[in-house]
Amino acid sequence: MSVQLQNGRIMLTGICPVGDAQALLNALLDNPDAPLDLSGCRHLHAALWQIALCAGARVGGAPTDPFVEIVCNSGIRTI
Amino acid sequence: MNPLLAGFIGESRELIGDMGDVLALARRGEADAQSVHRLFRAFHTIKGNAGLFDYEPVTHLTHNGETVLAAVRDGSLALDTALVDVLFEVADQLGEWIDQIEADAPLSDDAALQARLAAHAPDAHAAPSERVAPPLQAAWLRCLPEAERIRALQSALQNQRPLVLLRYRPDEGAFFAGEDPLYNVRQIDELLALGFIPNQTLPALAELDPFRNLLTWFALSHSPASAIEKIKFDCSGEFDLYELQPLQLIQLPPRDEALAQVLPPLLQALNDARTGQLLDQAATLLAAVPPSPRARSTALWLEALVNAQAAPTALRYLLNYAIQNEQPDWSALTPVAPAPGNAASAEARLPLHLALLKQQRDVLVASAPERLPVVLPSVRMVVTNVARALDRSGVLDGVRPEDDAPTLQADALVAAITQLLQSCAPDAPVAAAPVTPTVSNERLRIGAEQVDEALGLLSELLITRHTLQTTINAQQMQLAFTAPMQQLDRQINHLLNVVQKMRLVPLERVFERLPRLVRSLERKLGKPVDFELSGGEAFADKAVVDALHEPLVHLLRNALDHGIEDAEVRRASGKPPHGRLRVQAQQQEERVVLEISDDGAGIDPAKVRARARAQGLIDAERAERIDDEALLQLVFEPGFSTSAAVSEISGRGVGMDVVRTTLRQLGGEVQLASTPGQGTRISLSMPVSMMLSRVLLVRAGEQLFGLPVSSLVESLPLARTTLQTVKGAQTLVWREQMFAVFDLAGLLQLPAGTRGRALQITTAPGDFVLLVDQLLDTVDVLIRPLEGALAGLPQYVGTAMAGTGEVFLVLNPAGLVR
Repeated sequence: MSVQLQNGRIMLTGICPVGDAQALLNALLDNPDAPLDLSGCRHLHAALWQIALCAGARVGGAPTDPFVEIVCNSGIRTI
Repeated sequence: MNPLLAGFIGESRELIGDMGDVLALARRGEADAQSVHRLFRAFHTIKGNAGLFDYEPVTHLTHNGETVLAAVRDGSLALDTALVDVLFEVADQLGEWIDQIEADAPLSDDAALQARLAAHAPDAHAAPSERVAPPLQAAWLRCLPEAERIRALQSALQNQRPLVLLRYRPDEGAFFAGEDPLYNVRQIDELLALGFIPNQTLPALAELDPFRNLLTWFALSHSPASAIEKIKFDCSGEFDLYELQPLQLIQLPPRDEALAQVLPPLLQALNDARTGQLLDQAATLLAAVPPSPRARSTALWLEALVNAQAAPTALRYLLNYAIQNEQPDWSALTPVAPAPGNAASAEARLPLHLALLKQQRDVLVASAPERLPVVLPSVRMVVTNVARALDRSGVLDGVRPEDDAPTLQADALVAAITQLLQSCAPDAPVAAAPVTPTVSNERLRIGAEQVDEALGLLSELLITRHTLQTTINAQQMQLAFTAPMQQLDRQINHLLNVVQKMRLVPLERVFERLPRLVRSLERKLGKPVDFELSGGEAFADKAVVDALHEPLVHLLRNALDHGIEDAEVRRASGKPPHGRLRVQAQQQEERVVLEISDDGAGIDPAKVRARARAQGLIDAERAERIDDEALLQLVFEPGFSTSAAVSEISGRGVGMDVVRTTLRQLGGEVQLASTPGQGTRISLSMPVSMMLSRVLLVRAGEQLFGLPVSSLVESLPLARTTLQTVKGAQTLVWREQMFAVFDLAGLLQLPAGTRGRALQITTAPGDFVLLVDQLLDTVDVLIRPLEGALAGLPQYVGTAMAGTGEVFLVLNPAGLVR
């Protein structure tokens, strides 16, 4: 499971496939104010990005993967 | 919001409404050459305006619409049902974009619709199978983060690297097919920036289908197109590559007049080949304008170009872009040219200097006094520079110091510029432009708050007039003041009339969104209807028109969901398969009447009777006695619904009561008539203007109230009649008619008063008698709608101010009793 709620943050870790979409959607519906932590994320499926976008989610925790960083720069709120 | 943008939004909505009207005619096969021309003109105007604001998708779609309509106009293309449907979709898309522009949201992508429209274009039949990549749009570049575009520009210029943009719109079902658009984009080497544009307005999280792709991606890279092409195999949907010129990456935020005025000297410095100090000069100039996104962005791009040692042509491109307020023509972009040789001679520059001076003078003359402090520093700087270059600094001796009054400074600068122009080009016509703005017949768009302010001042004027009259009376000087007071009254009335008219807006304002609503319901419910809207030119007060939107939406939803039957049911009962839905507005003197009618199933009185009994709205005896017409009005009671199933569209039993409450608050009424099997007609009637009304001032429970004179029949002599109690309710008989009697203080839960006066009140549901303590003057007052927590109270239409300055509530007789 690469989507987990920890200390009020939604952690996306490793490679996050489309199978995690429902889990992320539920996590954001239950915790609309929780920031996304992408610091340990090595890749995320476009479906997950779309969910974060519709949720107006904020990203906390700087991504370490250069591509994930480029994705984040494409337009989401950062803390 | 920028007033220009607000104007664009308002005008576009009007034009989109116009498109809907013409398309509705076309669907009925009634469109003639003139209506096609009207349609064309609507597209053309929106296109022109959108270009001004750089809304490229809007420009692009309207341009293609124009192309198709030009073919219809010259007879080479038929305006058939298929084309009308696509054009309806185009109008809907434009409407959605205007909503997004108003909400400052990104514009959704329209490539699929573009393709459907393009299929109708005159040359579309030449090679129908081959999909043509849409032309590059500025919005695609703008969705890439600016910081990354700036870095990409620098690296492209310094290292002579290619710049390629990928537009990738995966199919909606791509995720299901195992496609990950981000994984595909990740395979691009030397990825510089990533951006996206939603294909539609993004839904709220709770309504999101997480497995449906909603985005179009844009990726910028230094990789050559041939290398990126390799990932195409894994990508569904649309995949288009564009080779970019580095300067195309420059995308500036919306227009900024102050910036446009201060930049010309920088261009001048470029012409003088003084690029070395360009950044310093830019910093000085940009400090002179209020900080704006465009100024900040211009400074960043300028710095990037200077640091990348770009040629002056590139710098000139940027400055012209920042000054012109329009996206420069990309077709003029050629590979960046080498720096020019020596600067042009002073003689050759003279025409440019003169043009600059004239431009500065025009700026001063056209600026409103409050804008002068913003404009003056840049004008002063330009004029000083030019005077120095022309070796005529002496003319500036008469210019006032910077701490002098702005208007004096402006006058002195205009005089200095005129003198400079005369001394340099004595033959040229140099008379200063007229200082007074030209008066024309054009319409002005005035903010509602300004009209309200005028209205507030009028209220105060009425009080002043009252005080004046009281003083005159006290001094017994009526005779001497009769004529001037009469004149004052006439003038106040005239002014009132003018302000009242300023608040009137056409119903079109609320009509223009209805066709879109009906079309979307048609699609959702699968019930085709012919929708007719007429009378949009009728006028009413802005507050009335704005409040009508919600009731209309509700009534149309009801008509389509419950009124109009499915096509099969209609056929079986001998009706045409298309339902007919009509909204008609009519001006009837001081009232506006709106009729919403359909030819659907109608409302069955038996069902209403049963439902009303079940819900306890009427007792068994009344259920027997009540006639069908009165019975049907029960659908406006709170919680009433005859619908068997609650559908997504309507039928939750809320709404019809809201329709009636809203109407009553507007001083209006709603009536329903229906014939089973033939259809339903609902008529809304409300006053054109809620502002100036004649009210009778009354006291009840120690409070002052206003009663609209229009609802008064007469004052009854209580001494000549007797109050009786019938079934627990007070009644009286007057002129052989029995009336229910209500005590105003009691209705409003105020302390009981003398209840010494009785008034016969007439309302649409029926007449009754109202008891009050005291009758005072009849006065003309301006009624202001209630705000905040009071706004939902059906008993009142608003507040007004008496001549004494006392504020009182104006009653809504129809809302007082049930």
